[in-house]
Amino acid sequence: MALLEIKNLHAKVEDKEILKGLNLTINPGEVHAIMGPNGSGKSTLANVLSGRDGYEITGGSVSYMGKDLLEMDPEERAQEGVFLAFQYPVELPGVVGSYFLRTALNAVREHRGQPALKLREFDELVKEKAKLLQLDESLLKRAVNEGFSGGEKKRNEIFQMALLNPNLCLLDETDSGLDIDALQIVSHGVNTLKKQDASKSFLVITHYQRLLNYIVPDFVHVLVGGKIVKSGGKELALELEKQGYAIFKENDTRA
Amino acid sequence: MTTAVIPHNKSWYDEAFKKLSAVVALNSKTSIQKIKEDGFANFVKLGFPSTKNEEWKYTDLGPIAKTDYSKTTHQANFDQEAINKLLGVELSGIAILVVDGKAQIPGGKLPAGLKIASIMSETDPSMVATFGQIADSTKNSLVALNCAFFEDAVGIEVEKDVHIDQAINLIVVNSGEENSFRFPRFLIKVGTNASLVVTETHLGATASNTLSVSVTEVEVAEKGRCEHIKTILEGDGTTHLGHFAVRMAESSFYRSHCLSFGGKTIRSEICPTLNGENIECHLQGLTVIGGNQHVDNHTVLDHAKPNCHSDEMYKGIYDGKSSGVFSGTIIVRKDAQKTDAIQSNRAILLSDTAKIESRPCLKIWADDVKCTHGATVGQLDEDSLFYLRARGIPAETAKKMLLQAFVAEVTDKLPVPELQKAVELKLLRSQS
Repeated sequence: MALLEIKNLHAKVEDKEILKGLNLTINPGEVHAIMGPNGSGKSTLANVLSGRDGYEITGGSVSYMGKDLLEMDPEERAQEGVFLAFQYPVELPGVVGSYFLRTALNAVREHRGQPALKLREFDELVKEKAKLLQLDESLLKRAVNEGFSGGEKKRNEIFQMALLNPNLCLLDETDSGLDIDALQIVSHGVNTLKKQDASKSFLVITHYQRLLNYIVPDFVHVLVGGKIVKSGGKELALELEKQGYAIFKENDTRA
Repeated sequence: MTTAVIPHNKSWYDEAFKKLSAVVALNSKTSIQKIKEDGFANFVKLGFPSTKNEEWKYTDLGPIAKTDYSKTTHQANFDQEAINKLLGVELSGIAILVVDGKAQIPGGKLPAGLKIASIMSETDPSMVATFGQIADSTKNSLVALNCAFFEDAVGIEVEKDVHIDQAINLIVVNSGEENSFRFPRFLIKVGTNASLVVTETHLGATASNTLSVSVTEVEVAEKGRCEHIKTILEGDGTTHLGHFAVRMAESSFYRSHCLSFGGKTIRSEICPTLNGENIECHLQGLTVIGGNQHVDNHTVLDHAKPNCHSDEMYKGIYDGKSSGVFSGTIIVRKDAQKTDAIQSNRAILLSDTAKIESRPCLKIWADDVKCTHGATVGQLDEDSLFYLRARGIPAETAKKMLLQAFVAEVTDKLPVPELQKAVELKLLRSQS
């Protein structure tokens, strides 16, 4: 059974149709990349899959491990193992990082029928995962993302991903705002997670090919005008880098 | 100043004053009797302020003026257990129970340098000398009303160089008899280089229509430190009108924490005068209300001398059809050069029907000062809520986490851990 099956998905934001019949199937262990120009619907797809308010699904279906994903609340999706690494991680003044992580982790564990982690077990897990992302643990004593640099925020996202141990990881423009060093650290984290659990699947949403040098996809899809207009292997990303998205624009049905 | 007043039953107040004067039964023109008579005369002159008065624009005392309140007829019984249940936590420290305006002074041995006494007997010259001198009944209706009608007054004094490390807890409860009134009255004196923490907890258990007009005078001498926490958890039908008058001397520190949770209509006036150099004054407020509750926080910070710092932060969470008012006046007098004053007021509205009025008012006569103020009103941030939910945290828990984070800036500074806990419990209850 496919892990994720998106069929003919249509979605609107404020009366404007953004996704116009998107099809995508992801099997366990696969890494998919979705590339596309600005406004093609990349972030809408990430938001619709993670359950953010403000998107109206006007057609199609999304099945995750055989269940109707679109029926689930955002927290239920996360508990079921869908993780979105945000393009713009939110700063939460007054919410201490470690408290946030423990609340999240224990909510997820409870849903999976696992007992809540004891403080010491939690600390050990945090230590292990922080090392993986070369994340300064003292950041967790501070409010979530508050005053973090761009790179720290993105590393923190992947760190949370490592901690919550999802089946499906959605990376929404994780490379945006990252310098090359931060990009390597983030990619190394993702690749290690994949190595540790070969059944994990990834959907990497990106504008640029650069990230795909580090997180090598099994499949690349080109999203233009709310539809996937071309799919191929990792070489498609290089082709796009050379030619740009212009050759696909004729398929764009937007006004 | 506008003199708009609400007509009320003057002859009724006349009657009530005579009766109460008889209760207080003073044989000669003692200073207390003088304060009461002046208070009554001033109240007759000032009356209840109407909403035409700018300072009372959003809080209507009409229903109060038209009710003939009276003293309770039965003696209410409260034990520690009943109080803990109302508050949700047990306060540690020295407790003074005040039931329907009458105080029960603790009999046990107090720490050296600490005095707690009823001022009515006028046995303590130091307390009597200060009493009635800080809160001015000639201009303020609430002070005048309290002066006329208080039946008891508790004085707390810490002597020079004495640091009291436990909190003095004034537990102000009422029997909740319909149409009953009470006039709690307190004096806090902090000596030179002394320090003290006083909590005032106003508790009510019933939904009956009652009125509390409470006045606390505070004097902080040179280098003295005072933390003053007021928690208002009155019954659902109660109108609580409170006034803090604070006089601060050179290099002193005063911080008030005004926590408003329970009551129908609440007005809390906090008026410190910074009457010396190098003073530090902090006013903190936290309001968490819903239903038809109304809370009016009214502060007047008077910078009279140079080189002082004041920091004011009021936060509120409003649900249902509740309404809030924050009016913060900062006066910087001509002498008060190098004043550094910060004021901020932040509100979260949890419903479409809740509302808040925020009115900063800066009156600055000095030319070399730093005064900033800011106000924000908003809903719970949707992006923050989604971020937490996207990590598997259920919506209700996520909401509570964000509200806790919102109030943390205020509660983190509460010097009494039990009250931090009480706020937490209150937040959890308000959201379930």
